[in-house]
Amino acid sequence: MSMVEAAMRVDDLTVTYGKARGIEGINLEVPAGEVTGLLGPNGAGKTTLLRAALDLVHPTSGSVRIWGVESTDPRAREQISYLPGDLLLPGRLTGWSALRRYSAARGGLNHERVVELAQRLDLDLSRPVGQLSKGNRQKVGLILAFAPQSTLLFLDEPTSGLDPLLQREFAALVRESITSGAGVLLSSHVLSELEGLADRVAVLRDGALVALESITDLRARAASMICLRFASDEQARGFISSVIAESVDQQDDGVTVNVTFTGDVDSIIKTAARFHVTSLESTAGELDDVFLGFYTGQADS
Amino acid sequence: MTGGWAFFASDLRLRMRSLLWWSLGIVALVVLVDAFYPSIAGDPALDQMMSELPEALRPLIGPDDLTSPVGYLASQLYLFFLPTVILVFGIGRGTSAIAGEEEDHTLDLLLSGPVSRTSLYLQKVLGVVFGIAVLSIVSLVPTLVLAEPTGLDVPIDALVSVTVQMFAFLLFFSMLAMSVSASVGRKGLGIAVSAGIAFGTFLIDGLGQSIEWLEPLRELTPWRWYDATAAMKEGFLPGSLAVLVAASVIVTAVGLIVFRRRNLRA
Repeated sequence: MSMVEAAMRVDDLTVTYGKARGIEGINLEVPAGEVTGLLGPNGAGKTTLLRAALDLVHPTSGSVRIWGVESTDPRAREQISYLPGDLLLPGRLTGWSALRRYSAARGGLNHERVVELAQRLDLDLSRPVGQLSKGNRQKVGLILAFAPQSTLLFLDEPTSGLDPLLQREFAALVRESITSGAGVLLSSHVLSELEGLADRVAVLRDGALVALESITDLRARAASMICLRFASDEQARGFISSVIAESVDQQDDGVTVNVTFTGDVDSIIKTAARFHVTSLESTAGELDDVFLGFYTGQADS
Repeated sequence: MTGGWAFFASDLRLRMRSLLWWSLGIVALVVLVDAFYPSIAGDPALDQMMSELPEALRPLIGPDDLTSPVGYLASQLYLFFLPTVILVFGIGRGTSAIAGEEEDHTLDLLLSGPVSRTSLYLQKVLGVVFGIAVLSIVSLVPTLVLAEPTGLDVPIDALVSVTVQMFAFLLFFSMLAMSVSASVGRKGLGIAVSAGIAFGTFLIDGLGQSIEWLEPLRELTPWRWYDATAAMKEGFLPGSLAVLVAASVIVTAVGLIVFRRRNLRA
């Protein structure tokens, strides 16, 4: 047991239903005061996990606890704010009436808080939802999620349709939530949506949890590239025959060599130092490549 | 639980305008039927025509005395026309209540708050019941108001009695529609099952009155327990009412049990 109670604890959760693939044997903790990223391609089971925690689908086996309360108990949801991935609201409702309808179960929202959020997000709540752009509709969802100041937030693909300015506002809202002690579960199918926000990332593939790592650890696994230019073809060939890296690629000009590697650059630099290097350029690893590896099942090797 | 009857209130606001239009439509429809009465009242030719119809078809059209105020209202309004129109509303509301929200992908959001499925379901039931109750009551008004000019001087007891009976009948089919659709998360199935059974049992009830081998099946048809003509002529029919209400409660409960247990579609 950890000292701090987890906002959410998933124990050996399996959900199977119909022909659709569910999730299998998931163990996961969402700590308070942290953002846990949930990453996986569409259909990997991210939304199913969130919907099981909301008791919209029932566990086939295992359990989800929200602050210690079994997810099948409606009281567990008193603490949860949910922003669905594909937010659809009745088009006739104005922003205000949509907020009222979908916060009815928790007894409405704090008016000042809603006004403050609408100002921050630059949203006119008096307009019918059906007349709003996708991005503006998403803002209604953001207000619905952030206004109650819940202690557990489920945000499913939250920044889809938001422009960069609003993505920044969104990031600020997430940070405020975790500063006030909430646990956040942020799901996405692209890593860039999680980078800079998530402390840890849980990677789902085919309904199973394949990795749970901090962003820092993941970054270390990302392959970097270094581009070296040598004084002559022989110099380049000499380097190529003695360097050890994931891939070494001599370009058509004969003198340029691209080296892909993970971990320390040290041995590559020391090998290159034995030859005449005219220029050197290095590119940081793309985290997304690591995930493509997870998705296709090659990252474990 | 927090929230109380918040969804019922929210649904009411959401659908108030549509209920108003429906009410106006029902009023217009009843006014139209009532207004036609003076032109056939006391025309014995109609009753004559009726008695010449084949025995088997007669019960489908109504009581023998088409030209008396009670006979006219029972046959032209309450026997089939009015309940069928309100049934379109009831089946629509019933299937929209849960399955409609699910198909519109708004059910997840409603249930993501601290509310149990039971509470949501019951609030939705109340909303549907409220709607058909309003339309049933509204349908009474024109005939009462127009009694003098149209000559439809039916005792108010008879009108109330047939309206209560009709409400119970509408309740059954609306709840059937809601229950079936909420059990599977599809409006279409709820509409098909309830409308199909309503139409099928109407034929069985009507034809069963003259076709001997169908007679026993009449007991199973909601139309038999509705019995507009008897409700107008004999007043309240507590036994029939009890059958319709009990059947409504049973289908509602079955729908709730299945809805609670199943996985909702994303």
